[in-house]
Amino acid sequence: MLCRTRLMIHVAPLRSLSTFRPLLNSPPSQNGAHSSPEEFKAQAEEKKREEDRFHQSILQGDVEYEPKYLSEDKVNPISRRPLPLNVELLKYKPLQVPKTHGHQVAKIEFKGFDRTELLRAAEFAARAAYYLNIPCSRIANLKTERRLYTVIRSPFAQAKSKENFQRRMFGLSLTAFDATSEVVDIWLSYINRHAIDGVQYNTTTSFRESLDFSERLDKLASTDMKLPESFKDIDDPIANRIEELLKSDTFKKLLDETPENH
Amino acid sequence: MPFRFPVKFDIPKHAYVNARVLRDQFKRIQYADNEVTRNALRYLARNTELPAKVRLEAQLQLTSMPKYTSYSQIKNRCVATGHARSVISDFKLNRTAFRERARAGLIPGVTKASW
Repeated sequence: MLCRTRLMIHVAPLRSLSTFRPLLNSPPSQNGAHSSPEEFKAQAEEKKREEDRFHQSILQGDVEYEPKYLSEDKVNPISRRPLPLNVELLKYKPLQVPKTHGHQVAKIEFKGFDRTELLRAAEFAARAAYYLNIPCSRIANLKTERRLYTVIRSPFAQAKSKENFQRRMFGLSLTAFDATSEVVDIWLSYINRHAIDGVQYNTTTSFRESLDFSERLDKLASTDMKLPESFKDIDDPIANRIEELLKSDTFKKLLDETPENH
Repeated sequence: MPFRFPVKFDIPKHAYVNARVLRDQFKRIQYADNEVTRNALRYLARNTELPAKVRLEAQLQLTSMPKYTSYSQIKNRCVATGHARSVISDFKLNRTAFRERARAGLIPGVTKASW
């Protein structure tokens, strides 16, 4: 007999497959309790034997690959249809499209106080990326930001007695690779449309320019960056007010008195 | 009873209101209204390319503006109690108002800390 846990056929190791524990019905196996050292020894030996057998069977090549669809027979009572595969896939960690070049195009940072909501938002983005065929990294943890607040306990006096509070800001990040900017835009707008309350989304998008970028920039600068003409059509309220002030009577008179400057 | 401020403005609806909060609100509105003019005059007064007389005139106009249009007159106040002291700017709350709410679990993400 093969080690079932290793084959992941009937007893799925929960931690590696799903990020949301309650979604899988079966509880985790309990191997911790032993009544005597002998029992532990026997169990360890049995485990080792099973491992060896599993190892041997792999070397002999008699492992059959039969992927199981867990809710194959389940039917939705309302629609009377079987559960779609993508719904089934919600029980597992998001699938990934392999990278082709490894050029980073977008990086989303999720921040929030609630870890579950954060993970939900990040996995939603990762799944959307998979269905849009965008190669994505795994969901990575960002450093937890902890802010401490120390306040005086009493509303008046007795300032020696303080109370400490903290606010923890958790963070996750997801990096997208190789996709064209149109697809990335679709992806980001979809994420934005279904954004979760209480999660802060920050995105950095990167683009690649051709090698003659600096030449094109110089060409642009030669026509566009001439002073003071380039400031002519600027829509800055302060600049407009300065112009207005300089054209007013008081300032005009003062400017006219000193013609060598203007 | 006459309106005690030189310009009419709306009473804030998002916060606890007392006379000092109203005074601060008035200054905030006045600062926002005059921000562009103040910055324009400041630019003129500090621009060394301009003739000295123009710069002096701009500085005089700037100083002749009412004190309530100045940014330095604005003071952060507690949204819940109107207190001006020990206001935690992350929450816009005074320390006691913050402590009450934090202990009741009303502020998202804030918990008791111990180390």
